[in-house]
Amino acid sequence: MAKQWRIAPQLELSLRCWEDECALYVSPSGNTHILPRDLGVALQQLQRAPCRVESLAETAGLPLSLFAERLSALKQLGLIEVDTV
Amino acid sequence: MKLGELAPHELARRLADKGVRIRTGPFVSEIRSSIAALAPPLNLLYSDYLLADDEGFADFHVVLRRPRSLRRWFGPQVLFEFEGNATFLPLPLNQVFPMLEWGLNWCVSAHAHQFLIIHAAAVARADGLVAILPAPPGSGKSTLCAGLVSRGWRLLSDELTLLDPSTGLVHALARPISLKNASIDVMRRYAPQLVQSPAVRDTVKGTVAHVKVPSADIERVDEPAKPAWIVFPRWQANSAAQLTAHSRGQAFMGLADQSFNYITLGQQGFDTLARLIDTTSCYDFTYSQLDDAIDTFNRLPIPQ
Repeated sequence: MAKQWRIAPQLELSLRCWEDECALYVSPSGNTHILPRDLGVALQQLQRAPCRVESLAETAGLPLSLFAERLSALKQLGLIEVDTV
Repeated sequence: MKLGELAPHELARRLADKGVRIRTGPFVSEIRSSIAALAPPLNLLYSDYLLADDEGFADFHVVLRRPRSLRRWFGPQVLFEFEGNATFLPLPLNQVFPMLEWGLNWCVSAHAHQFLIIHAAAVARADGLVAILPAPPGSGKSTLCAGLVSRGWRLLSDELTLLDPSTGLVHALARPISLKNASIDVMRRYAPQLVQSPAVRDTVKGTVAHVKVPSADIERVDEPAKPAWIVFPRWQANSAAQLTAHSRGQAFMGLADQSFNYITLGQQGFDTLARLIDTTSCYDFTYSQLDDAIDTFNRLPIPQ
């Protein structure tokens, strides 16, 4: 089965996007991040449902390898994880 | 009743006795002090402010007094007490008025969490739209703010911009504008009609003086106003007035960094700031001449 990503289940994310950047508020940590718009859009997509990286890259309009690299930043921040369900 | 309706000796007597309760925008501050040097600048700069009822609610109870130590006789000092506790290290006695101003700023920034509080000036153009000027010390924020006020812009605040999370509007404090160092003489020449307190030298911020708020702005202190522009000003010698677009994401983070309680407010802080960014235009602004700066501000386009 192809690997899917999801928002880490304990988190609530609030996003606001302007031009090429998005502000992200993470609850309950209270951290705020500024993200490139494509990552913000990916998070919005993941908020709706778990997704494969190919689908996220397609939405962002970026090559898969480049987008996968950028997505790893969200994983390192603990915002997303592999959907194990 | 306004503070200026008290005779000077009566003001000094009330300060030393039960205190005076001054209304500055949404807050009532009860100020008590038997230090004689406090009454004259208070009378000079706060004469147009309404006094609140002695029996009513006061948001902040502050006392400025001399420490009970040998310094009482040698190198006299002043202490700022909030609700009975000394909040800061004592300062030289001649800094009693700046200490009151700094202390009142602290009272608001540390307690008024019904607002998102940003370290920024806020001034409104004749059409009622507000420019918010966040900036670190030395950027020329207060000089620009005083310059705009001297040319008809309404002062909402020089130091603390109060954003109402429920409406997104800016509430006014309209307390004196704090000028530092070279700005003091710059404003004396540029706007001689503005009333300035005597300069106090050798403070932690250098030489400081305060500018009295125009009485019309104090009368409108209860009118919140709609923010339209976030402008990050920077004074730079010999530069032309130049306004350039500032990324909204970076403006968001810049304002969050300059906020006293963004983290305290949590989700509400994020939502309030995001709404502000949604509804305003964000700029960097470099200037050297006040006339050019004010001309630029007068022509700021209304956000769509």
